[in-house]
Amino acid sequence: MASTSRGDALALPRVHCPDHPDAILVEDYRAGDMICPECGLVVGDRVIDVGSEWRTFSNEKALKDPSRVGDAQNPLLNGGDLTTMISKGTGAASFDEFGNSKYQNRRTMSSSDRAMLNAFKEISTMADRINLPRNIIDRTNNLFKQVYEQKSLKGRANDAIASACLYIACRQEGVPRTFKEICAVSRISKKEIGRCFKLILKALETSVDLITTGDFMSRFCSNLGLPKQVQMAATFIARKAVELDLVPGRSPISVAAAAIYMASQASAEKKTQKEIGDIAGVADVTIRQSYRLIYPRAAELFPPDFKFDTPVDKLPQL
Amino acid sequence: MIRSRSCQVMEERMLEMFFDKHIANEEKMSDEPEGPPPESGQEDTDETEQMTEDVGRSAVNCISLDCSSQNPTGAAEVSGTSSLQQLGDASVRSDAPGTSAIPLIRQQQIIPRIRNVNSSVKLGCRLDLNFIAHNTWNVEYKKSGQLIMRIRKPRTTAMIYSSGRVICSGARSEEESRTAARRFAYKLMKLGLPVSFLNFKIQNVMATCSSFPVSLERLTQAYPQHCSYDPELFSGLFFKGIPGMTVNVFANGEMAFLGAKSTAEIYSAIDTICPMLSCFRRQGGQTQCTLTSLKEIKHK
Repeated sequence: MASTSRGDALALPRVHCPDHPDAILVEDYRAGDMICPECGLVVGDRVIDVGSEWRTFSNEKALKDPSRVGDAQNPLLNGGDLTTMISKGTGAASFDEFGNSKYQNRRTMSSSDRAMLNAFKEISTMADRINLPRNIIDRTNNLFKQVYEQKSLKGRANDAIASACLYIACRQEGVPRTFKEICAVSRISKKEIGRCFKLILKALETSVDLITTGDFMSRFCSNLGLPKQVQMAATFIARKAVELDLVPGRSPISVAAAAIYMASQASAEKKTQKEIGDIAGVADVTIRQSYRLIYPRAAELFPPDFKFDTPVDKLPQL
Repeated sequence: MIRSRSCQVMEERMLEMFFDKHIANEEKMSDEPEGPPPESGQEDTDETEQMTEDVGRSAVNCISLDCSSQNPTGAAEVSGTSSLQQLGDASVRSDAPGTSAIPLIRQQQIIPRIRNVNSSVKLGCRLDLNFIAHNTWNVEYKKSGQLIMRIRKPRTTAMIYSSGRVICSGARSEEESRTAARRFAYKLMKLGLPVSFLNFKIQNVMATCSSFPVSLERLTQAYPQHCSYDPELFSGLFFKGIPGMTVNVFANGEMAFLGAKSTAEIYSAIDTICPMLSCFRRQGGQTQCTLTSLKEIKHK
């Protein structure tokens, strides 16, 4: 008749229709039945309903989610959430004569993962500062978990590893952040993050794609408040400059900054080198250097449909 | 006065000769050159002989590798000049003059300049660093267990340890490093310490050389497992394709070779890398053609 499979702690007892053992049973929530679709036999009854007990309206920031019986954390990341802990008591009996609570066992919840939990919290804080989406945070958490379990970077500060994981996750998702941007939200120096970055790549045996100028354009331009036209022009200029090999050996960020400068100077929204340097994390002398390299061929670099506020020959020459 | 001075000088010389003959007399290589010009790369021992033949062959392949040839190993069709043929057939003898031993690619352009040679030698006795520090010029004795001594003639620095180990750095060639190490040992001998000159070993040779402008981005894309390039962190690319060595390649063609154990290794590294880099040559944005795999060139 009904055959139960043992050894599955969380699974409901599996039932099969006796005539059609291969048929996948259909659950009827309202009646609590499991029905065989072939012959209509009710195979299991009084099946436990795992849905919500009462209706909850979507209120994401609700403190208490009544349908949950446990924490909503991802159990995979923390190594299983099946621990039992003693909570703080509420009645008078839970306090001894001095006023201290008995059963102070709350601390040793998951001692081996305490560092990892701290790091996840730190990652979440950092990512929140630069408004990174959930997928990047998840990827960072995964990377950190892999690195942490490997123990090859054990001596390094967890914050440094977390920052480097964040950097790698951004790169892997195709939206790289510069080291300086990660530095701004982390307490670790750029040097240390760079070192951890290289070590992690080696430990996990992955590699990342090279950064290109276009990766940063939208962010820098919107931070500067430049209109879409200028942003598109700057992207075009930077890409053309790299194609024509006018800027050999220059960091893509410097080239992007110079391109933004050129595009903004040619439009109505002019930005100074200092402003662009502040946003991009590039020194203004560096922008000047890269600008000098692309200036001679400025006419070719602009997109054909660009509306010049300042014509090409009137662009500032530094 | 002058006479006693010259007597002193004579005694010095004899002492030095005594030192060289009896103390610093480790296994000399069979045909060790005395003071060669550093650029003319003399590979004189038997192993390096074999390698120069290989290297010669690879150089021939380099020439035939005008980047449109599909099989560089079919080098027989090279329309060689006389010097090439010399390279191809001539058995490289150890006493041959330097020029014919060097592959063409090096003769033409790419000559490494050795910047630093580090070596170590064991003096075979424990040293009292305090005593040395008090009785010698030009020493620094800050850290316990390590003394820093400098000499002027080959301008080098030695780190001397109380165990009797001396690490000599700053020399410009392997020979110079050996001379410098011997000078340091000799200085300590003059103080009366029972030194000998054991296990002299070149630990590290660092050289730079200048080649053609290279597109680092394409190089990273082609060999991601060997290259490490982060323009945000450092403007050079770390190429770790050759075991035991790291090569820093810059966009303008400068290269720095780190981690080599001898000059010969540097030369062979150049001969391995340059043909590969020539495929990523920067020529105003033109894309380059078929590239021979690094493996083919390495395991010839």
